[in-house]
Amino acid sequence: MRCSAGFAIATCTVLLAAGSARAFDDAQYPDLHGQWIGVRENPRGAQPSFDPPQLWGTTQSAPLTPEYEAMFKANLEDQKIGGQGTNATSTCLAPGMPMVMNAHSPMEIIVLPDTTYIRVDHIRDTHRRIYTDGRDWPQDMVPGFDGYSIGRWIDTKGDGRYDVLEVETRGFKGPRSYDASGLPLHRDNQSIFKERIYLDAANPNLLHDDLTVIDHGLTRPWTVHKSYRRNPDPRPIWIEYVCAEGQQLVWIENTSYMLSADGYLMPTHKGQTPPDLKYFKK
Amino acid sequence: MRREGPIIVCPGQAANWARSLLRAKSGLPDFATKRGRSRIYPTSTGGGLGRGVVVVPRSLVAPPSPPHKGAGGGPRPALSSIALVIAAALLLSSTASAQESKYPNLRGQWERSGPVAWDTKKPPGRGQQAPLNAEYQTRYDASLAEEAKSGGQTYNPQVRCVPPGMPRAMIGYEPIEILVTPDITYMRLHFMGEFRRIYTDGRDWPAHLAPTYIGTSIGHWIDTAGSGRYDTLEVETRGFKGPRLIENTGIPLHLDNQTIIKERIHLDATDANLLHDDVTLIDDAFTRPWTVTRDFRRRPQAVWIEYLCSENNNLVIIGGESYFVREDGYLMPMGKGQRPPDLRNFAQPGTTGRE
Repeated sequence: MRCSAGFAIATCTVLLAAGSARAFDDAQYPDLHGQWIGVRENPRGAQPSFDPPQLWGTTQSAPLTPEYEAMFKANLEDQKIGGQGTNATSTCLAPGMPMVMNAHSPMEIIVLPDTTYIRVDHIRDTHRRIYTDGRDWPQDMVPGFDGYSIGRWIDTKGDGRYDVLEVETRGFKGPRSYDASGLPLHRDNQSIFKERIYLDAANPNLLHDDLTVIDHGLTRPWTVHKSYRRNPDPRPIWIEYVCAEGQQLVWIENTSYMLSADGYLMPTHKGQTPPDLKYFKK
Repeated sequence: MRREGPIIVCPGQAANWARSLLRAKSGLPDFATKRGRSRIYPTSTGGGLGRGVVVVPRSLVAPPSPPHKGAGGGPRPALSSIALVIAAALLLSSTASAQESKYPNLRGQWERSGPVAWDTKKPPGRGQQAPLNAEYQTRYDASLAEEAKSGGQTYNPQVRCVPPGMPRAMIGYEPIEILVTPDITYMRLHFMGEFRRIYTDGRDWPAHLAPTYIGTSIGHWIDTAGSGRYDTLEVETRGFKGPRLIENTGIPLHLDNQTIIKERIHLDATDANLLHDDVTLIDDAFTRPWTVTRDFRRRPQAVWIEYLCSENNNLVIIGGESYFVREDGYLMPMGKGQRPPDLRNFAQPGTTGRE
């Protein structure tokens, strides 16, 4: 017995050495593999709205300041006559946060021990990095459309498995809007987003994102609830989205023009004057 | 009194306990937990040594052997049982780490080591000696002439922010990040935000491939050294759309988009921060397969800067010609004597700019 105990202890030591590399047990984390498709709650269709039950192209009950409500309405008027308003993605600029979480295109989540990645290929291939390695906010954040995200996994049920990812995101550049209607965020880019991302308690193929916006274009924090359904196909098809492909809009003198099918400039609305060609020799 | 509830065993402490068990005759400490399942808690910081905590059901621990008289006298705890429990716990905790440690460490930020020419050992442009057939050499010559004459870039879809796709994405104009998971190895290509999925789940080529610029990649890990660890990722990529170029001087790939790309991706044998990608291109624009090795060096400190092609992209193509949009938003020519764009689609007379 003493010999077998010694052997077992020796085995322990060997296994301890073998196991000393970083251990990532993905059983600790919720299964977020696969392809997630945004749940569209508004039956009237059109583009996905930031607040899913609300109609796209309205204020969606956003608590906008008077200034930003006026900006939004002016944007809608411009779009009515063929302009693009405050929708920056018309130039193939990144949607950024929070618009990327509308999941115009399917979403993929990759969980690794120190970082959770969220990928949505819409307008451009967005890869959010949510750092879960315990870091603090850096002193100098390089501003980005996606912002800088720090998160932490929480075991809310105390069952030894993480079930909620809490995320805070800061550090933006712009312009950004909540969705393609041009509902604008403040141009000071001081937005803060707080999220709780978790699987549905009754349905592991339904993902929730409770997203709170803190922004100077709002009179108070605004919380929306977004959901995503997992594609049951274990080998889903991922369609490549290339905004520039077939992009017919060009911006000259801060005004949008279109390219006709034969590649020539044309107006986007009735009565639009052509661009000034003053830099060309006559 | 029989102890109830599970036992928590910390692998980091297990060696200490093993040593103390040889010296002492006391039992294991008792920690309270909420449930009796085995589980492993990884560390929260990436890159550190794992010191996971393992919880095992108390039922796995055999009751102590009845006392008997031996050379040392007195009661003897069930060292073999306890040690076996520890061994089992360590085996459990090492399973996850063994899974991860069987792949090379490719985390971090990889920067290209060398110029942006496709074959870094040769000069750019014609110096690349791309094995183009006669037809595609003619196309290439026309691209070079356009650029030389007026700086024109109509041959280069990238200037319109169309992504480079494969193989050009592996030039690595901006850093690359590699994420290894058991079924898929992902490559985040920061330039143009491209994203490669290399499926390593044993799948075969689908009957129908949705064509993309980045292609569809199937790979498999190989242990070339017989060490029990994978060290090479072999990849084949097909299923393209285009047009695609190999690099910025415009070396073209065939417009039939039947390119096949084979890669062997591996760390350097002597430098764990140097990554090699041996890339072979098989394309109908070539007279033979073309193989180069692209190298990437791992940065000690990753700093990810967002890259957006469309941000401040001042190049527009109108009527098949390239123009610039100035800082003040006005259109200007790209080359001396370039005529303005035809404004035939606008109603106002006398504004075509061609009078």
